[in-house]
Amino acid sequence: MAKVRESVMRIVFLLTALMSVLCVLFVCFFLFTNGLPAIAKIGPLDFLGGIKWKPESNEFGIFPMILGSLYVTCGAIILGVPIGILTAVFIAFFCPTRIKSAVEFVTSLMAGIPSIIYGFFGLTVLVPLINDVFGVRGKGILAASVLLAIMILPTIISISQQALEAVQRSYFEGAIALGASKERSVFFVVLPAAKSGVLASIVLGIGRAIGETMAVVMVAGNQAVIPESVFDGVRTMTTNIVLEMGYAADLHREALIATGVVLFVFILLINMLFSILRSKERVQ
Amino acid sequence: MQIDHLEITALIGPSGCGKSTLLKTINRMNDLIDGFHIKGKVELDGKNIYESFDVNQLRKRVGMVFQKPNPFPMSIYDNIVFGPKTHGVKAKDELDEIVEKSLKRAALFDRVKDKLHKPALALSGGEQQRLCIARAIAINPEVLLLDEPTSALDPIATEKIEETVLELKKRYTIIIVTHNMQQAKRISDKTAFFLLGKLTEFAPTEQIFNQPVDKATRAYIKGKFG
Amino acid sequence: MNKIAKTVIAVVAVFALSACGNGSAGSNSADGSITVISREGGSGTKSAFEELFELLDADGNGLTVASAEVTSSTAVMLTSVQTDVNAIGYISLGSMSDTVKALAIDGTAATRENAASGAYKIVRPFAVTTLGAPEGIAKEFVDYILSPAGRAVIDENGYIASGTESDIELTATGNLSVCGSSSVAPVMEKLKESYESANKNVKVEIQQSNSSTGISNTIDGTCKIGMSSRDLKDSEKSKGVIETKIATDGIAVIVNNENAVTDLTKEQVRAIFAGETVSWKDVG
Repeated sequence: MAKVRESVMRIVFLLTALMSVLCVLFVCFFLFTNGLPAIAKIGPLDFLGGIKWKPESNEFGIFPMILGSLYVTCGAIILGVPIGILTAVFIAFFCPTRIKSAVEFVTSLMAGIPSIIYGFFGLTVLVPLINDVFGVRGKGILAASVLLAIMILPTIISISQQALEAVQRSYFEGAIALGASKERSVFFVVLPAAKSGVLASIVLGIGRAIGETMAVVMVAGNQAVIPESVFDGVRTMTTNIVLEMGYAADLHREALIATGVVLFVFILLINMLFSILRSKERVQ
Repeated sequence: MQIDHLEITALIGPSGCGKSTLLKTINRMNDLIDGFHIKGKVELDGKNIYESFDVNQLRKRVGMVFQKPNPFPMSIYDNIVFGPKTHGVKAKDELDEIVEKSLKRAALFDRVKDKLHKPALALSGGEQQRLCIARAIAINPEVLLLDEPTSALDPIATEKIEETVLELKKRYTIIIVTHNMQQAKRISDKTAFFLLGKLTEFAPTEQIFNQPVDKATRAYIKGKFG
Repeated sequence: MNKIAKTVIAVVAVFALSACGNGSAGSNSADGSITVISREGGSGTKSAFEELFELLDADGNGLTVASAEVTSSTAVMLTSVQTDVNAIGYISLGSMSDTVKALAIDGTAATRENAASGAYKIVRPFAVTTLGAPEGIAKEFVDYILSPAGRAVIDENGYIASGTESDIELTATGNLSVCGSSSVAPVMEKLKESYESANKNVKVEIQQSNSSTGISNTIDGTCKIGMSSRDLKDSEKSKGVIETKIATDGIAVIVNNENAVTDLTKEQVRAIFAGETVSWKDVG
């Protein structure tokens, strides 16, 4: 009887695992079967390298949007990763126990705030602030980068914090016993030992930043042109899709799906890079 | 309790009676524990270590090796130079010299001299512990605290470590906590017996093991408890 | 812990304080470079605006300057103009609020009275669109909107009602989906409330996006009734879409309340949105 039950359960688990895989496969299938023909029709070079996006005149170059996604994601990483890692270090090692749970609560709260609220915050606080401080129109790469940096902080903080706390305490104590200060022990022994987990948090942060749409569409300006300065407005691949998908038809719609394909490939590349880095480390 | 220069003092006694805790007061590792406080004095060369010392400078003079070998997840070379770099040594040739000297004194140099830049965690348990000893002596301490250094190792590795410790006695004052009475008998000059958090008897090793004064000491030596 | 914690707290405090001080427009005087704000491609308001201000090329494509910021709805447009002293944009006259200022065009103030009398010429139709003639509950709702009850709601809310039907009997039951223009949505919400209280057996659901999306949804059947704030295109008519005009709405050209400019000519507005005039100094 027990044997039958075990086999049944094994099948149940297998099916649920398969379902998740199937979902991903369906999304891939939909993307590629609708997007690749569009890229072929438009011409890969004209699509990926074209700098004019004017659907009404049949011009479908998404290069400005690719750059837009890259710029705001890089900006988010440059701003968000150092702050995130340092905050994680603070929570794990330097936070007084009395306020530690409050800080952790606030961090997880940040993770639950809907994107549109972040967008609204960006539009009403961040954009005028940039306008004030720098005297330029507030919407653009800077606003989007700062907003995205704030949005990926909870991811980076919580995963890095876990990675730091998982490092065996004996390393920390060994460093202290050699006469190193607490700061030195944390930054030169514990943090390097948590490298893999911290890297994982960064990859997840990149994934979130490059896929974010609703918050970015409110603060990025959304001009489909190649930006020239960090204050220029920009359109990302995701905001391009959300602005036009509702009413796009025929080739226009397929071009937007093809943009999704490009996005998908980016995420794939980032995850592959991460796997390579991890396996290199394991070999060492 | 007076620890003499260039001698090996063993702290023995049943589990949980405070030997390791006492050891950790000598390099102030207990400061890491919330709510720790101390009554009485611990003096190094006549100065109270809880008052007249910068704690990092204290730990430079009083080194520690832990029960479970804990080399950092770095190369052998980086493990050893971590201490000297912390205390200001920068020149590469100086660091190279320190690495060679420390590894030789820990009887590990010949084993690893061709793989100094390989990961320390690839070494065997006994080798890792000797690396920790080398790492501790790299900062040139005066006192070495060994907290049950061989309890996690096999007999052959244990023997090698004991040989090394006997050699180290020529240069460092050593205090060793051990569960292994035979080990205390083998290598220490003086032995302190602890029971339930109190120092029960402290005398030259010869005397503790052959003519113990205290009843409890006698019972522990004979293996009646512990 | 102390050094790092104190630095973190200090930095956070600086940001919090500077953010607090700047909820509103900012202290630049309005003689800086003009921030042109436009709507997304599917917006009926954008299409109507470009047509009325002669911002179309020979093929009927919009000539709004490429560096104009793109906002995706009436609400975001309002907030964007409200928070930038140098901004200029446009919204449905019925959505006007005193958080922004409506410019007089060619000497005529943008008010409902002027739009009704024909003195203010920047007007466009509000229409409901259906695939084929409306039937069933959709027909009853449309007739209700055109009846005196519907017309009263429309007039009260700042638009000019078009219907001429008389009162009708309400007998329909069921659900109705309405989607499209974010300019029409506010008055549609009011019409829905009025209709639902007159006929307790119906439920109307409204989703806002933009005119083109609403029309495309009626074509593919996602929605029964589309809301549109522009004329139907030929391509949409050829697919069988029928429009029923329900109101006339003005388009207000809006600027920030602290902008000294109060009126412009049609040509001036055109030049600004075409990117030919770039600074407020070069305007009246």
